Amino acid sequence: MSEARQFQHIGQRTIRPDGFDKVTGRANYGADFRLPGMIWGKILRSPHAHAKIKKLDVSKAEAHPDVLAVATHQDFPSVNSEAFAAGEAMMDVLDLARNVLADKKVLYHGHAIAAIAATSEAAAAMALNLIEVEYEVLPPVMTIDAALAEDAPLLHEDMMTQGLTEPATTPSNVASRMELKKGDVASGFAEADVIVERTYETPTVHQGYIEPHATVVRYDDKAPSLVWASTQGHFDVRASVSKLLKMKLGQVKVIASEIGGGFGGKTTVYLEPVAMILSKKSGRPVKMIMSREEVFRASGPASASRSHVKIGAKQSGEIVAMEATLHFEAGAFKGSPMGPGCMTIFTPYDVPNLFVEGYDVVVNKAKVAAYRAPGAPQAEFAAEMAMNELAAKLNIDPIDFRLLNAAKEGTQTIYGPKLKEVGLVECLEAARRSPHYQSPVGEGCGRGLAAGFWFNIGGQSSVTLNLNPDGTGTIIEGSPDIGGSRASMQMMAAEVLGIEPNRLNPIVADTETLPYNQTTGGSRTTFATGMAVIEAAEDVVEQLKQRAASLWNVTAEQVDYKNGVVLNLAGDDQMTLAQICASAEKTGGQISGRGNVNARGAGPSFAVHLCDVKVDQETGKTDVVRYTAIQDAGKAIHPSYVEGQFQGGAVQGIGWALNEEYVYNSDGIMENAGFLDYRIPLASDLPEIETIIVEVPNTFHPFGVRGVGETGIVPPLGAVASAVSDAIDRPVTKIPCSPPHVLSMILNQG
Amino acid sequence: MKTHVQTEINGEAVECLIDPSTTLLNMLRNDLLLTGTKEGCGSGDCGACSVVMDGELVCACLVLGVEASGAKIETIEGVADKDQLHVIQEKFLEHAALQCGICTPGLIVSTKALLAQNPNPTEEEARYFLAGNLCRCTGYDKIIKAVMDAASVLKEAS
Amino acid sequence: MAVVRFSSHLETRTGVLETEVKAMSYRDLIQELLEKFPSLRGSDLEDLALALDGELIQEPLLVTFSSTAELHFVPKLAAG
Ligand code: FES
Ligand code: FES
Repeated sequence: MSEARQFQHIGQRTIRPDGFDKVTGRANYGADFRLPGMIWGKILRSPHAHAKIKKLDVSKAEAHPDVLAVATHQDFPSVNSEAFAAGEAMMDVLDLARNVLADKKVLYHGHAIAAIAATSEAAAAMALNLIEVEYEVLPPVMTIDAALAEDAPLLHEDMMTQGLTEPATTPSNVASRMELKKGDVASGFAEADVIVERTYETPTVHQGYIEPHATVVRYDDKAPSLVWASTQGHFDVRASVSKLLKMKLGQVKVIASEIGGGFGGKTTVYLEPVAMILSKKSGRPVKMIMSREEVFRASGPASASRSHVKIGAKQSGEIVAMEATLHFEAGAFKGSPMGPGCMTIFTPYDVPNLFVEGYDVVVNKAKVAAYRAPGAPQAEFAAEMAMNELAAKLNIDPIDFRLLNAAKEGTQTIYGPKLKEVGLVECLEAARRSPHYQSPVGEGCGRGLAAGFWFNIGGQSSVTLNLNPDGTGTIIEGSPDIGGSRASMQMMAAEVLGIEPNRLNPIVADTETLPYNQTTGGSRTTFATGMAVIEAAEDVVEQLKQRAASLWNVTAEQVDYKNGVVLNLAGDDQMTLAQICASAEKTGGQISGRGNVNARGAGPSFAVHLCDVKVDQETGKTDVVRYTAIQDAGKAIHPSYVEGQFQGGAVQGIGWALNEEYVYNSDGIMENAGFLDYRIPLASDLPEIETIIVEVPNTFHPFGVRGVGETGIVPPLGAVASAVSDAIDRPVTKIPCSPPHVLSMILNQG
Repeated sequence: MKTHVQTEINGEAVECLIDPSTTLLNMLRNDLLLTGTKEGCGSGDCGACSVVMDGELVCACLVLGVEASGAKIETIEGVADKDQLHVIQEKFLEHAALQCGICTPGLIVSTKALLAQNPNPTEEEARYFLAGNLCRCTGYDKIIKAVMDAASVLKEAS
Repeated sequence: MAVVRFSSHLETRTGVLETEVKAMSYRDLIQELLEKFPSLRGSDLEDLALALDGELIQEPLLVTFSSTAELHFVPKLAAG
């Protein structure tokens, strides 16, 4: 690409514009909002993992004086099975309706059955006891093996596996199969000198955002109904609510609250449609907040997986074939991220012969939601573990082994396109040069490393940039700011306009203010919404030039714009942006720019992580003692927030690799539905997370941006588990590497 | 039956009527509209609701509102002096120690308590003191850097 | 002529992994492919994104390309 570009603002570490509100407690999150006359909604949840609802009687609850409304599945206008894009994934409306409020069957412990709105939160909770439900309890299907068993109980009697070469004739718990190939693996493996073949497993985990789901809804018949929600995508909340309740998009106005974490888990709806029904029935605004326990039991876990991987290489280290069979749990309804799992698993490597097949399997657990690079951590964990084992067998350094086979510009991916310029080689080289890799492995410690790939996406974003008569302005965007993106928007607009970033205030507007904006997810915000911001700012520049030209009575071609000043090339006049804004009333009214994009050309981001662990041989307790995350950002707009994304992803991955897992009892009930027992990493568990930002610009973005939010969670599973393997000298095939699991591996001399 | 509670919050005398089972957290948030203190779990496991009661750091979700009678409570709303941010708040912003920010009020209140008790903590002491405050976004790295930086600025100032 | 590469899933309909096309726009491309491969249905392609010389395009309806282009039909991506 062209020479490294000089930037004025991009690459600086500015103070985020929403920072003051967030460090003083003024910022309003999901649960911080109230409306006059507001009442509280609570949800009755299934005590069984799998059961038919024989009877549901809400009459006693309805009769209670504190109760103002009751909602059940019957309150949904009849919806038909229809795929629509909600959040990032395609969702079936009927499944969504049945997930939000169960129809004839409950499919997981904690599945919503009915909801009550009452004068207080306590009264609503109390009144739930008045709802009478009779169940016919069915055996729960809790694992991939159980779901695939010949005589497995069926979650959905009518589910036929999609994607088979011969159409399925009998229903099963397998929702779909997918297959991708390149070359011919059989002849590839025939050429291999060494082959590693293993099966790897990962558990059900949760995104673990600290803020529980929360909403306030006010139904209105004459004006748009109001939805206040903590969500990654308020336009998609609007889409879901309107689909489920057959309301026109213009009848629903969604305001995105500040959001206390999502990681993919807040890309779908749980409470909002229910609160809408309750509000409509009661005639009052309704507030609903999930408890932490409800968050664990009934929202967004990420798929448990089982991946069978086979990789063959020549003695020289050249990989000749890679093959995998992936099974992903979808939870109660179809739609695990098995597809992206298949597409990402081998993408870091340029190998002639590849074959991947994937299965989407339903089980009696909450419907999975996206979790940061959905599907990739599970799948790439398996590939990276096998890669490290193969490198060891070949006696080649794991970085050299990867460099020898690394994907680069022109590599034909298994899912379709050839890669454009990407930064995997640069990340691997940076890893090798890093102080971490150069340091010796400590006494009693192990070291692991892994690479990771994620596509990143583009998509639709709309931005308006309004200027005030004094030259300050507002950037109106529609992407909920989950990790400091307002700062990046401000910097990109300032870069184009050549003014100080703090003269522009970015706001996240509601669904009535802007056209549709896709959900914050897929690492798309800085990339795609950034493009819309740049386009809006360029639109402003054009207008500033025209206004100045008309004041000077010259043509727009005779003026130039630089550093916030319009220059008259036909004379020596100049005007600042603020001066032009001040005279805007004389030149045709106020100035505002617009950018509506459907951004193409998202740039994949590769990462390499290094991890050192110390394992206590007596207890199996594993501590991460050193960790380095290296990733290609394309161009880091705000380096601190880019590092923060690397670190946050790394630590979520460390938790996944070492501690986190849903523990179910034999009835299919999660036994650790709280932060005490579902243990996410604490400050005291961790060392410093070192970061190295690699910048190989994305040729499709004006500033070279790639998304950075997701790739960082892909490598840690393999990096940490490989470090554990190294420390205990046994192959790890299953995470989490919790103390009992590690201890049993140590004791099992093998 | 409601109970009358008189207490002092961030130096101001406050009173309200609450149900005796109401937690201090819900009293602050729902009855006094001080929503800066957050709820992440309601069971003492996340620290989002950290406040200081009579000089001691507590989880407001584990304290009853009635227990606050006659006590002095400090919340996130009282940390800045009007528009003037406390050094800890400034350092959190400078170091980008927040992403979503839901954990931030609790962490700032806890950090203030840490530095009041131990103005010169080692990094390890800071990590252990703040182990009760969960943050899912940042991986803690920048939080710890902000805390250590705030400690050294405050030490110089004193 | 532009080259189209199919996934192994689409291959079950087309019988080939690769084909050349005269089309120079997305609309013409779809028409040409449907004529060329009778067992291919419009719905097989509609829900897919297009990669044009490695650039991922989620909504390709208005896309045009040159006779040296490389095209791939790719599943639309989900993400967190
Ligand atoms: S809300 Fe009090 S500790 Fe989590
Ligand atoms: S910044 Fe999101 S939980 Fe800490």
